[in-house]
Amino acid sequence: MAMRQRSLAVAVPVPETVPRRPRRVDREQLGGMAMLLPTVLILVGLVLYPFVYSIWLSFSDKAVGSAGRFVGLANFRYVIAWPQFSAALVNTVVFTVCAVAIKLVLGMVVALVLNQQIRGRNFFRAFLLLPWVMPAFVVYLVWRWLYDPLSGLINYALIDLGLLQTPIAFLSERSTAMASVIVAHSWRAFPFFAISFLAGMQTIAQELYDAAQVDGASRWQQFRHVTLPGLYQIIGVVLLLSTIWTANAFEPVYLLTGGGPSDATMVYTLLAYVMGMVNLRLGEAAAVSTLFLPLLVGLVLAVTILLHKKATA
Amino acid sequence: MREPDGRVHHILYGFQGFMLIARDDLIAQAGLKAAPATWVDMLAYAKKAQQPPRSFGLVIPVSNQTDSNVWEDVMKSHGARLADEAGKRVVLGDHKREVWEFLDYFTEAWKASVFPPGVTTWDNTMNNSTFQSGKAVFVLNPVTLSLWLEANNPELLAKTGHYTYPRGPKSLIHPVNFGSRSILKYTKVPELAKQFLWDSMEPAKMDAELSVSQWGPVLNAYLGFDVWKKKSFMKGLVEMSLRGEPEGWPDAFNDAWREQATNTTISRMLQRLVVDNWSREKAFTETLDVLGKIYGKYA
Repeated sequence: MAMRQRSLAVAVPVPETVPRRPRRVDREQLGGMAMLLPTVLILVGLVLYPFVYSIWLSFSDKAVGSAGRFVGLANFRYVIAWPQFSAALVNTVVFTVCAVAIKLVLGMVVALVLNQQIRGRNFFRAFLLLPWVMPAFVVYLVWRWLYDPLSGLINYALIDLGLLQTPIAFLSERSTAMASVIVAHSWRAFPFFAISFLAGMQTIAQELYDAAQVDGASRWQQFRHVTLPGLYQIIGVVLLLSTIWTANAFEPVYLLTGGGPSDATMVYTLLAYVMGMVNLRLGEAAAVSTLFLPLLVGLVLAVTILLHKKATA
Repeated sequence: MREPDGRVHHILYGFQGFMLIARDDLIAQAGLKAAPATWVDMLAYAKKAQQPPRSFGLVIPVSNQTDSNVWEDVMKSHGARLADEAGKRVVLGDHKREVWEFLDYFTEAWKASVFPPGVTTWDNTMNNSTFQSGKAVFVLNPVTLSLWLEANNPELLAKTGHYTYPRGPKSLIHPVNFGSRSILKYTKVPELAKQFLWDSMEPAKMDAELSVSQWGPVLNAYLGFDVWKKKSFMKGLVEMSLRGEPEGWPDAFNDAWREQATNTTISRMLQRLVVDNWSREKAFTETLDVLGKIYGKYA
């Protein structure tokens, strides 16, 4: 049986409101927010606004010198039907996966070597950073010269050694162009991996290796069961950053091949550059970037999940 | 110069463009005389005069860089054109026979190994540097190359000739671009600006300017300047100015044409043949598709 509730109105004396000073905690909160404000403004101005604006651009026919108007999905349809789009999609994945894998292996090997007590270790540790600190423009022009079929060092060496009869146009043949770009990029960027891994190795306690040796662990087993687990967090961060940087790399392809020969090395950054900066069609360029956003997020998520599983296993 | 809207927006002060730059000494050594009159002649000269790997006959990029657009001119001299008179509708499909003749010509040149290795990824400087290092018989390049030779390698310049483009089977297509001056629409001193334009076109003033620049003459009044006689390569500029056509010709120079040019559409068709081993039909079909997409945006 439902009970009926009765309400009763009662007059309660209201205390006189006295303006009080903000409590100490409130003042601290306000101060904290004030201090965060510049950062928030910078993030909104330099990250959020450009991001939202680029999404808007991808839905407009904005070109250099024109205001641009909303065109719905026209840019996306145009870009997806463009002959080089599918090539850019495949090439971006191939370039990113291969280059990151090479940098990971090379960086780990070099870090392991430089973590040993070898002569001139400090010199080599400093020397290691050279490719990383050199301007990308210089690095890739040097590599272009190295690959040159007429005057490049690699062809000269291979012909002198009797390994080749005629020079190879490394950057100009479909079979070799992408591999050549990946090698040049990996050479430039692997020091970041090596130096990060080396720093991580310094934090692994020597006692763990001593104990492993007492237990009769081989070098490989020490690496597999002591070094690698100790580096998982660093490997995760480095892989994450490198995947983002590599997928967004522009200079290696632009300076070495211009996306050619044909579309053999066309990656999405170059396609966006051609559409936006060369053809001056900013809406189409933004559509290219927007279309690749899920792919990049997917790559980053895959790396993160993979490493999280490893670290928590 | 009159624009497609029928109005004059700017006044020209100089012509500029690519020309045929040739190693006259290598051509003479091969027992050949004078500059090639046709593209077919040029290929024959290139085959005969080159001595790879010391020198290569045709040092022309076939890449994704804009210097490769010279191939569009070669194709048009075979009788093809991209779009109709209005520059709106793609008509290249109606010129399949001419395009295939051009593709046959290019394929023959490719098979004859007159191109240096690597041209399919060359940037816009590589033909310059190859010529500067003495490894080229023919290049198609602006006079900037000769100005560099004048300052750095006069001996090589003395062996170098400058000519208009050779003829194709149907016509001679030699595009010329220009430098021009305009008055801002919202200028506060329009009369003063107009007077400046008149003064700057004054022959005595232009004589001084052209003697230290790289522009060809835009007025008959400039043809008597000493600069054309003093420097042999500047004669090439005069000939180009007298005989050249506006950029894009016979197509209308509009946004659609410009965009297909920045996409190096014709050079990409050639790369499909020699890099990807596509058939002529497949490469041609893709080119028509790309042109249709670009021109369709501006129709």
